[in-house]
Amino acid sequence: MVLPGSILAQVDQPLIRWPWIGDHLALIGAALLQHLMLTFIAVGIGFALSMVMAVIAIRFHVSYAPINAVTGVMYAIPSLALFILLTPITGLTTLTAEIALISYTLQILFRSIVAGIDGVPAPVVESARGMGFTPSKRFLRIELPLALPVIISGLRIATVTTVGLVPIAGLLGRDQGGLGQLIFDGLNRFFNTPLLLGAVLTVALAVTLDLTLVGLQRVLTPWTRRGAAAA
Amino acid sequence: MIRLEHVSKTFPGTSAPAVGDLSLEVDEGEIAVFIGPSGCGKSTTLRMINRLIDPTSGTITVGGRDVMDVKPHGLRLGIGYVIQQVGLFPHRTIAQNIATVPELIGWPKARTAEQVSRLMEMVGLDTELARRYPSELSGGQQQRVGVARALAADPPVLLMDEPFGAVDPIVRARLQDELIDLQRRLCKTIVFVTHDIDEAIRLADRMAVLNVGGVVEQYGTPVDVLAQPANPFVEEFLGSERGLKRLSLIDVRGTKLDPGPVVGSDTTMDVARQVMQASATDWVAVVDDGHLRGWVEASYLQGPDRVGDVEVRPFLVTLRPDSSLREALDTLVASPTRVAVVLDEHDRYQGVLDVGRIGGELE
Repeated sequence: MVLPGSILAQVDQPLIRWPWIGDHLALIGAALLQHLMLTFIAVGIGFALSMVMAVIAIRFHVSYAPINAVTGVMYAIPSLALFILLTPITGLTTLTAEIALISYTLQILFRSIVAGIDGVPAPVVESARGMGFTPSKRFLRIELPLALPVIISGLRIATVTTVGLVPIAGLLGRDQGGLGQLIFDGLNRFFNTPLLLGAVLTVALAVTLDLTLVGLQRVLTPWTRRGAAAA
Repeated sequence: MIRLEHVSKTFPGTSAPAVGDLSLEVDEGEIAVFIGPSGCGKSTTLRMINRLIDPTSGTITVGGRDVMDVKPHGLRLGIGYVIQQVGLFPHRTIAQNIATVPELIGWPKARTAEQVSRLMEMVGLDTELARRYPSELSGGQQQRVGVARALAADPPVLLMDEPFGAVDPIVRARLQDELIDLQRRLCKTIVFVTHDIDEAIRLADRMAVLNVGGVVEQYGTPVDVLAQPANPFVEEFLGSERGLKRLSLIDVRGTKLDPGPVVGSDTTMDVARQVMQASATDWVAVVDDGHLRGWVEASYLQGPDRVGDVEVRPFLVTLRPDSSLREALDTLVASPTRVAVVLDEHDRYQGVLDVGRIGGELE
């Protein structure tokens, strides 16, 4: 989050008013929870959609370029502009927020899933075919697990990006945008404490979720950490 | 067991067929080796048997069943498949890799586990490796896992596409020996693709020499192909040392041995000299009760002593009935007596071989 120095400087107040935090724990908790929910829903739905698109792109190679182009354009639209474009259709709602957030995850997740599956060594696919895997079993039991390291790196980028974008949804209304509520509250009232707290918690949340995904990858892909071939 | 009739394959976007009009049969329990230069369609032909590639025309039957009448994955579950790059699943342990097909066809867990340890032992893998991942194994070990995995559900047919092409020559020779040994016990119908003529000669019951476009130039036992190449292409493909290659296929057992100049330790020198002269050599072999003690040079066969009283020099190298004539020739070249001595499994003297007799086998 950008914290314009001028805003903080021109207000005559301590940087943090600790009692305010103690008095508003419930509000802060709710904002944090909402932030988490918005992120999970966006990344979850984004992942599901990307998976479907990836399966289509892998099955029908010609579809890769158009899917990539469409998700690329969605990724390039500035988030503020997208909120404004969507508001006449879906209103100042969580739905508007989620549509925007999801659309930013698609490009990253779609490309990482396709890259992960493409990266499965050809002999592995060949032997799986030759041994009698059906295409769907081969996808689920061989290709997807082997693509996990690449897919999870995509998930990490998508998650951190989404955590950073959620506060902007605070523009849609007072009860929107997770920790963005605190940030906009602080900005509107020239009040440092919620502004800083919202920003710091957003960063902390991004780091925590990123580390969680790193841990998840270590648990899910034990084979990547075992030593190279013995002589 | 496997029958290909007028099979052809033309890949989309190409005019010349990869395989033209190929017909051949592989009998049950035999190792058929497809060999030929690159582009001869040997791998394509192999991959049509388990429908990794569908033929453009012609019929392929496995066990009397037209492969086109069976769903590809169902067909493949009943056919073992081994490729050069092995293609083990990196995310599955060795045991899980071997258990792949039994799991796909739904064997009970206990039966699968039992089969996995049986197979690991059979292909010479330490059961300690069961919980390792493929990246932790050497190339030779990985290929053993590949073979075990292909054999896991006990398929009657095994397709092997240059399986030992990526390992070093020493490991390759060992894997070939192990395959021969395995085949003696299992009696699978094996189709084996290679471009290594020595590997083909070593493994094949019958070998098909293919030319570009999947043309079968000759299909027969290695002995027959080496003895009578059907045409200049086959002859050139077999390369030099065709005679030596043939010798490597003939056992000492199948050759008539020369009894050799043999005397006992208690033979007098006079008698020993007579024996020596009778066989026109300048040495005699000393054999007591069927056991070879060594040989004595002509110059020692003098005086009142008996043969056993003078210096008996040991034969440094001896042959066994299952040695090949090629090994025999090698031994012979290194032998000061210019003959190779043959002993049976119980070290009993059988006779001697010389260059003349070995040469006679090639006629």
